[in-house]
This record gives sequence, C-alpha cells and structure tokens, in this order.
Amino acid sequence: MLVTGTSLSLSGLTTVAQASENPVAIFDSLYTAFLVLGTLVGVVVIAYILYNAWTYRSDDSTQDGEYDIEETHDEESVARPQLGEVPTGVGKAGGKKLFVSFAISAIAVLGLITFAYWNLLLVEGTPDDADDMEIDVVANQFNYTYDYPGGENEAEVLYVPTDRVITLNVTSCHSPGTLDRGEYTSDQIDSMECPNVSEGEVENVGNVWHSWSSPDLRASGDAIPGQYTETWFVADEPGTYRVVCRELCGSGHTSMNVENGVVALEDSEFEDWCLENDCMAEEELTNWLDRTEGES
Amino acid sequence: MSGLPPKSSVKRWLVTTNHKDIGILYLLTSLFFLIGAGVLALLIRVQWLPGGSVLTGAEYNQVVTAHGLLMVFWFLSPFAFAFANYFVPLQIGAEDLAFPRLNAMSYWLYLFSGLAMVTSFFQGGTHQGGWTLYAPLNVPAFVPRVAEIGETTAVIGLALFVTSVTLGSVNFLTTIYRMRADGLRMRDVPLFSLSILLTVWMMLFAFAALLAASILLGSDHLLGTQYFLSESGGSLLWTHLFWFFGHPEVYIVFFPALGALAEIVQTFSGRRLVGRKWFIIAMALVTIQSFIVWMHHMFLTAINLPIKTVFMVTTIGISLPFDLMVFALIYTMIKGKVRWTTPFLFALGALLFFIIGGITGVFLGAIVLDYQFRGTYWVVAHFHYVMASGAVALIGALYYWYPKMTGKMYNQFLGKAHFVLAFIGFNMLYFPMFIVWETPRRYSDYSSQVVWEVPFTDFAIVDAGFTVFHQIATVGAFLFAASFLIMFYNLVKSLYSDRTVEESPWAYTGSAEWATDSPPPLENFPGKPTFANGRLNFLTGTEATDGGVEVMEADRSEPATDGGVASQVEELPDHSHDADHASWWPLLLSAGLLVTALGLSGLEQSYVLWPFVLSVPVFVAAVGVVGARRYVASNPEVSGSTTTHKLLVLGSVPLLAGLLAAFHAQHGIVDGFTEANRYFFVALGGLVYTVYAFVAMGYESFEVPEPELNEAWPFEGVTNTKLGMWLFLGSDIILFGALVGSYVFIRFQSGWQDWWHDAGLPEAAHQVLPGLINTYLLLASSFTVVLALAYARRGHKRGTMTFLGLTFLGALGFLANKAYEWNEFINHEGWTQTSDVMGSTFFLSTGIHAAHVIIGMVIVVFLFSRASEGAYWGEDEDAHTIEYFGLYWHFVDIVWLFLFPMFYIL
Ligand code: HEM
Ligand SMILES: [Cu+2]
Ligand SMILES: [Cu+2]
Repeated sequence: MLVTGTSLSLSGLTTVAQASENPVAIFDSLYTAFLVLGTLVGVVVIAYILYNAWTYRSDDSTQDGEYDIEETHDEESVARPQLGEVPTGVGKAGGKKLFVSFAISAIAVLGLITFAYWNLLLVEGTPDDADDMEIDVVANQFNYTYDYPGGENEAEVLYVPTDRVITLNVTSCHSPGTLDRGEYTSDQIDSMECPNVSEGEVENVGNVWHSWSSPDLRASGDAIPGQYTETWFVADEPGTYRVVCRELCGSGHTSMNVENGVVALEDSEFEDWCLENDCMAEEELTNWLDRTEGES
Repeated sequence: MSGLPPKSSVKRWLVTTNHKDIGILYLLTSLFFLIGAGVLALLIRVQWLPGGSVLTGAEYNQVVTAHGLLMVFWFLSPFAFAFANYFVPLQIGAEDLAFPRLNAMSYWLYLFSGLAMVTSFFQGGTHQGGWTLYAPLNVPAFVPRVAEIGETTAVIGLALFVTSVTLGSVNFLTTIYRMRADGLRMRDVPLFSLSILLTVWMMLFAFAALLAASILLGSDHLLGTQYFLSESGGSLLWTHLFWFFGHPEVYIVFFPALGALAEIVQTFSGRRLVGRKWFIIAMALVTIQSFIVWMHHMFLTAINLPIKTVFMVTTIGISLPFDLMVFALIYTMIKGKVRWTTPFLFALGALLFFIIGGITGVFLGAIVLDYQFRGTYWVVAHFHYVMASGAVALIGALYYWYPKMTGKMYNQFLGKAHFVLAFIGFNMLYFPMFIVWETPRRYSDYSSQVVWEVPFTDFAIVDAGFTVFHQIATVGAFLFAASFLIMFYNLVKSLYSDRTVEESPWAYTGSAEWATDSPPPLENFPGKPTFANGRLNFLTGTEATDGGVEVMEADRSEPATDGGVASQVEELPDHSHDADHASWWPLLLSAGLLVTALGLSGLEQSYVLWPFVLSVPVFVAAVGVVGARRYVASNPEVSGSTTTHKLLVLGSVPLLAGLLAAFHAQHGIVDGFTEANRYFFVALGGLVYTVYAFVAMGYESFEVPEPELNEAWPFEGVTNTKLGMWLFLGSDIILFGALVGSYVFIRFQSGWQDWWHDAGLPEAAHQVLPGLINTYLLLASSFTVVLALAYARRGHKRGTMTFLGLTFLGALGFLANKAYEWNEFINHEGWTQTSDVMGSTFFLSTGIHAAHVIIGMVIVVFLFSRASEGAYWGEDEDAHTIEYFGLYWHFVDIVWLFLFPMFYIL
C-alpha cells in the first residue's frame, strides 16, 4: 500500500515538471499527492485507533455499581485514575512513543509545506517568459464582463485562443469617478466602473465582493471592490468552460453560474471574433498570435 | 436577596446566580437553538432534493446565514459553556464563579441576543450574506430595503452576544486563576477546566475584535459611516477583522470539546492521559498560534507572496500540536480497560471526525489547492467535520456528565442507538460533499451538470452522479437529525426513572466533581475541598467526625486515609452562610438591553444618539433616589438622605432641560417627538429602564466572599475584582487596537499622505489645538483620581469627594471642548461621519473614546454618591472601588494618548 502511494505521488511530481505551464496540471499533481498521503494517514490512524479501542476493551465481567466495571488498581505499571488524586499524567510512560509519532508527523508536515510552496511558486504570477494576453474581469451583481486590451467592449463571455497564457485581472466594479488611485492606469479605472451607472448617480457605491472561478481551467480570483486580483490559465482544447461565482454576493449569486462562461477558440476563429469585437488592434493581434504559436 | 427558591419554582430559574443552575440554563437554551438551527439545516438540504426548490435565492441566503450564525454562536459555544459553568467550579474545588451576578448576566444576554437574532427574521428578513457577513454586502447600500431593520437587529444581536462572552471570559479567567482548591496547582487543573481556561483566553481577545467589527458595522447601519463601503479597502478590512476573530473562534468552539474528549478517553480507558504535560503545552501553543493564521481565509485576495507563504506555514504547522494531542489520546487507550459506553462511543466518533476534518484542513492550507477549494463544498465538508466533531464530543460530554447533573442514569441502549444513527447519518451527510466538492458553496440550486472524475481511473460520473451524492447527503441529514430525537427522548424519560446514581457511576474517574453527590448540593462539596496533602480532602467547620466520613467517601480506593482532618478544622473560614445566590437584576438589566437593542434597530440616523443622551439625567436621578433609599434602609441610625443625594435628584432636572433644549435645536421639541417612529420610544423606554436597573444592581447588596485558603497562583496579590478589571481592560485594548487598526488600514490603502486633504474638511479647520487641550485635561483628571484614592485610603471624606468632583469636572471639560470642536466640523464645515471615510474614522474612533469618558463620568457620579454615604473612608477595603475605577480611568487616558497623534497630528 505504501509503495503504491509513493509511486503515485512520484508520478505526480513528474507531471508537475512537464506541465509547469498549466495550472490544471499543477493543481492535479498537488491534489493527487495530498489525496494519496491524506488518505494513507487517515486510514492508518483511524485503523490504529479502532484497533486499540477494540484490543484493550475491558471484558471484566464483575460489575461494581450497576453502570460500569469494578475499579482495580493492582497493576503497578499502569497509571489508572483514582478519585480525588491530584490529576497528573502517567509519568514517563508512552512519552517516547508520543515523541516518535510527533517527529514523524513533523517531517511529513514539513515535506508537505515544501512541496506546496514549490507548487505555489509555479502558479503565482504568470510564467516569467510568458507572452500573455491580459484581460480585465469586472464583476457586478450578477454577471461578469470582460475587457480586452482593445478596450471599449464589454463582452459577457470570455473568448480566448487555445494554448495561450491568458492573464486575468479580476475586480468588482465601482461607481464612476470614485476611484482615483495612482496604481491604476486610467484605462483600468474606466473598465472597473459599474455599467449602467453614470457619475454622481449613486454615491460611492461600488459593487460587492464576488469570486471569479473557472473550475475546469483551475483559475480563480476574488473580485474585490477597489482592487485587482491576478490569475492566469491556459485553455488546451477548444471548447466551452464553466464560470462560477464563489463568494456569496446576494440573491442572484446562484445565477452567476455560466455554463459557457469561457469559450476557447482555434486561432483563426479567435482572430475573427476579436477583429469583429475590437478586442485588440489587428496588427498587434496577428503579431501576438504568431509569436506565441505553439509556445505552450 | 439571598434565599434561593426550590428548583421546582419558576422563580428560582429567573433569579439564580448559582453556577450549576446557570449551567443547566445554558444547556437547555443551547439545545433549543440547536433545534432551531437544525431545522434551518434541513431546509437547506430539502432545497437540494430534485424539484425541491422551496426557497427563493434571498430566502435561501437568509436560511444559510442564520443557520451558520445560530449554530456557531448560539449553539456550539454556549453548549460547551453549559458544561464549563457546571463543572469548572466543581473540578477546581470552588463554590461558585468569581462574579456570580455577572455570570447570570452572561446567560441572560446570551439568551436575549439569540432572541434578537431570531426576531430579525420577522423584521423583513435577517442578514443574507452568510455567517461571515462579507463587506460590502453587509452594509445598507446592498441590503434590500425591507430587510434593513432585520439586518441591523442581527448585527446588534451579535454585539449583545459579544458582551455576554466578554463578561463570561473575565469571569472564568478570574475564577480559574484565583479560586482553586488549596494545593491544586495550575498545572494540576483537570483537562476540561484547562481547556476552558485556554478557550476564554482566546475569547477575551478574539471577541474584542468581533466587537470592534460589529460596532463598525452597526455604525455603518445606524449612523451612516462608510467603513465597509469604502473602496479604499473597506471590504478587505472586514475580512481582516472578521477572520482575526474567526480563526481563533474555530478553536474556541473546539477546545472545550477537546478537554471533554481528554476526560472521557481517560475515564473510559481507565488510564491517565499519556503525555499530559505535552498535551497541555500543545493546547497552549495552539491558543497562541490561532491568532496568526487568519489570512488563510484570504489567500485569493491578492495578498503578496511572502505573507501568503508565512500564513501557509503557520496554518499547516498548526496541525502539528493537534497531531500530538490526537496521538496522546490514542496512546492512552493502550493497556487500558476500554469500555464502549455511550460517552466513549461519542468520544471515539469525535476523534475520527476530527482526524478527517484536520487532514482536509491541511489540504486547504496548501495555497494552490485552496485557490480551487475556496467557496466550494470542500470547505463546507471540512469545517463540518471539525465543528461537528466538537459537537459530537460535547454530546459525549452530556452523556458523561448527565448522571452527575441529574442523579439519574439514562438508558444505555438508547444512548448507543443514538450514536450509531448519528455516526452513520453524519458521514452520509458530509462525506459525499468531499466527493462532489466542486459544487459552489451557498448556491440555492445546482442542478446543472458537473463531472466528477474518479481519481486514477478514466471513470467519470456525469450529472446524475452529482445529484445523487447530494441526495445521499440529504438523506443523511434527516438520519442525523432523527438521532437527536432518540437523545431527547432518552434524557427526558430518564429523569423520571429509578436508575439513581450516587457520587460516580463510572469507574476510574479522577476529578473532584465525582467526589460529591449527584447532583451536587448548593455549596458543591460536603466541606471545603483541599489538595494540600496530595489528595482531595474535605474540611468541615463543624464536627470533625462528619468530615472524616466524607473524606473516606472521597477516597474510596484507600479507605484507610482519614487522618489530618480534625487538625485543620479550626482554621476553616465558613462563608457559606453569608453568600448570596439570587438576584433579579441580571435578568432585568439584560431584558432592558434587549428592548433597547430592538428599538435601536429601527432608528433613523438623526435619532440614534438621543435615547442615550436623554437617559443620562435619568441615571443621575436614579443614583440619588435609589442611593438615598438604600442608605436609609441600611443605616437605621441616620435620619435621611445625604446632601449629595438631594443634589443629584435636583440636578437631574436642569440637566434634562438642557438636553431637551439640545434636542429641540436639532428636531424641534414637538416635531421631534411627534415625528419620531415607534422604535424611538422603544429604545428610549428600554434605555431608561436599563439605566435604572443598572443603578439598582450597583446598589444591591450582594455578598460574594473573597475566596480564602485556596490556590491563587499567579495572582495571589490581587483581589478578584482587580484581576477582573485588568482582564476587561485587556480586551478593551484589543477593541481600541482594532478601531485604530481599521483607521490605519483604510488610510494606508488610500495612500496615507493626502488623507485629511481628501476629506471634505478644509485644511484650516483641521486643527491640533482642541486635541492638545483635551490631552491636558485628561492627564489632569487622571492625577485627581490618584489623589482621590490617596485621600480615601487616609479616611479623608472631604478630600476624596473634592478630588472625585475635580475628576468629573476634568472629564466635563474634555467633553465640552470636544462638543465645541464637533460643532465646528458638523455645523460650520458640514463635515460629518457620513461625508467620507475620513470623517467616519474620525468621528467614530474619537466618539467611542468619548463614550468611554462618559461611562467614566457615570461611574464617578456613582462613586460620589457612595462616598457621601461614607462608603470609602476609613480602613475599609471599599476604597478599592476607587482604585478599580482609577485603573479604568487611566486606561481611557492612555487610549487618548494614542488617538491624539493619530487623528490630530499625523
Ligand atoms: C488541522 C487544522 C486545520 C487547518 C489546517 C484548517 C485550515 C482551514 C483553511 C485553510 C480554511 C479556509 C478555507 C477557505 O475558505 O478557503 C478553513 C476553513 C474553515 N475551518 Fe479549518 N482548519 C483546521 C482546523 C479547523 C478546526 C478545528 C475548526 C473548527 C472547529 C475549523 C473550522 C473551519 C471553518 C468554520 C472554516 C470555514 C470558514 C468559512 O468560510 O465559513 N477548522 N480551515
Ligand atoms: Cu456570487
Ligand atoms: Cu481559519
């Protein structure tokens, strides 16, 4: 059992190395490793508890009172509780075992932390050399809109080309004219404004906290009023992917569950869509698509 | 009042301050909330049956929210504190808690805060944003109009609950530190009581952060401040405040269960806990570490990599001390005499649940996994495994201690049947959630397809599989709920059975609660418990032979030991006659607060402060009237009230007139009252009554003997009240820390520098001088308190009263100066707490400080009146009251020394 466990998690490790460019694979390998290890630990510990509870069950038949066995304090080696004693432990007994098991779990925990940290570095920020496309995701009650580098267009579905690194800057929309913070470009600030609200109409009211997530692409980011959260993904296959909201955002929270929230297209189809919708300047787009062809 | 009516009388349960009675009250009330929250849980699951959409989105959100809040706050913690109330004094050999009336108040505030929460449902709807109340969904701008009052009630209910918890924490800490039986060192305290000690330490600080959060939120609702609406980090601010409280909270609900687990495993393994010392050290470590893991709830909020990493390490690392505790419990069973009784089964089940919950928590701690798990049923399953592990362990505790509390044994078969059904039901309910963990959390409907891929195979379950797992969960929910019916039936029926229990029905019990009758008598033990010669003995003040018999009872295993009793009889102080056990005021005062809270929930912004303001003269008059009455009643030799009493009564009239004039200035006296809504009068009536009850309670003579002949390390040098005051101020530090922290956080998020310039306040108006003057005034008034104390100690009545009076004047000057400054801001510059978030932080932070000043003045009025009655002069211990007030007053002063630079200079 132990052997299969290790080999499985080892195969998990190799997958990471190969597919460090895709959060789906990174997640899968880490999840698999945790699942195998966690199940192993859980099963062993639970079995051991049950084993002990069963093995040392008392079969004393002499009933003292009506409800429990007769108390005996004959074996010197076992510290049995006595009524009225100053409650101390058992002295040294069992201490060594306790330390050994503690040491083992400490090593396991340290290992897990290291492994988890290494994986964290892989998903944190887009890969260094990635030539990505950045898209802003603006959450609202109760939908998401997507702003492409070309600006202006507020698509309700996220169209992306396959096999490219797509970086999302997720935020929740805010009321026009209220956000004026040095860290953002005026483009970004514009795109964060709540649609259908014009300046001065509602004072200081942005939107609430949402959490954009595409489970299949393993990309998530909290959509928080007044700030951006970054996440990224690569869609391997053309097709549609679900988008859900993962932070309770009001009565319509459930409806923020869009089956075709992300549509991944072949290059040529994406090009058509993009040009039609001003998602990027034509020249820039073709350059980018060419440049990144077959990169990931 | 001292006589306690018999248990059959309803009155007993309304007036009692005895810890065992209050324990029973907690138990019944928490079970009542368990049923309520449980019904809501079933509603949630019914929603998930095919075609089961019984609730709309908004209703579903309310149900989810109320279920979470009620279970965590009004069931789980109070359920644990039922046992804490009942058994901590018994385990440490005390007669009661340190402050019995305060304990009764904790209970009533707990009950009433829960009722407020329930009421909120009927005020157009309760909160809809989940028990985590994320911002800005929790502020009026996003609350449906109809539910505005209900939401506010829920927030105020939460604040009342926090008050109850804070009083309770101070009480338990003082008790455990200062009232242990002679010879019972801190490290010898039984594990359940130790776990309560650590729990209340966490409570003291964590709940102060929640208090700050709920004050800010309440103020956003009632006063129109803009903390959580602010786009400069308002929503993040909420998550920081909430989770700084929230993570310790998950251990707060779990620790008592852990203590109970240790006791149960120890007893039913017939073996002392292995590695007891390390177990305790591990618990203490978790207590501290619990305050540095909170950001693991915020991994997806774009906090930077180093911080995230630190929190990942602390989070996964916190599983290590837990590992040690679990192993200690397991090894205790080895070579034991393990009896599979009902309590043991529940303990075993809880241990298994906890292991599963803990392991899946480690998954969540790994950030990359959490990115995907956040907001899914993985989280739901994880925390139910851990929290329900706590609940299941405490149900075990109920079966363990039920015979002690009632003197009756329940039906063992039904107990085991309850366990089996609960165990199966629980796993059917929550395990499937791990399998279909991709389900988004808090969705009211999720019928669309989801694929579950079976790991390591090509096998996948599509759509139907998904719903099937949720349907299994729903069936499990009903089984789990049904199992509790067995419990209720069994426990109620057994009360009337003839299965009586003497001291201890179980073999191998150790701690003191098992050495007395079941149920224990009012004064708990047959004599004064002591561990001075290494074992539990009871000293009796009367006949040595009586004591001897009792000691033999306690020492069943070694009947030969009975010496050493007679020799100690003489020194024994006997307080049992003058201790009081009954008072109406905790109930009445808390009821007043409930009425006030309900009134406040519907107030319009411009009316919010008026009930408070207008009840001040009532307070002054009440001190005069009640004081005079008590004075005359308790001093037969005096002919009438003192001049101070008369002055107070007379003075309250012009004071009222002055305040009404101010009311007139804002609203017009006639229009103001005729246009006020109903809630205004409810709030006003409630507060006036509360103020009266407060004074009456202050004047009630309620005898609680300071403990003697006991172990009080490390606080031998102080009295109970002084320690209580210190602890209370400790939590107040966190409150102000959180307020100042919120200001710093928001200001930092919006770029620190230009803060006041961005505010709707002209730069010229933002002046340092008023703040500086107030700093001097407060410092001076601190000095006068010191002098008042010095004079009181020398028995100098005039000096005492003069300096108390000067302190009052200093505070009055402080307020007058502040009123002038605020008037400038509000009426001339048009800059208020609603103008911008700068205004919000300024007015609220300094306003809460001003409220502390006013409370101080209120106490001075009270002290002044008592001083005029001759309370503090002479060698009398009573001068302490002035000392304790001094502590508070210096604290208020020091807080200002932080606020002044923060809000005036920087
Ligand atoms: C081994 C120890 C534990 C670890 C490593 C751990 C870790 C975590 C993490 C990382 C989360 C955040 C999940 C998310 O929202 O993305 C979480 C949630 C939670 N945990 Fe734990 N946990 C542990 C033990 C406990 C215990 C003992 C309890 C309670 C008795 C508990 C109760 C909760 C609750 C209530 C939540 C959900 C909060 C919410 O979003 O409503 N956990 N845990
Ligand atoms: Cu949502
Ligand atoms: Cu946590």
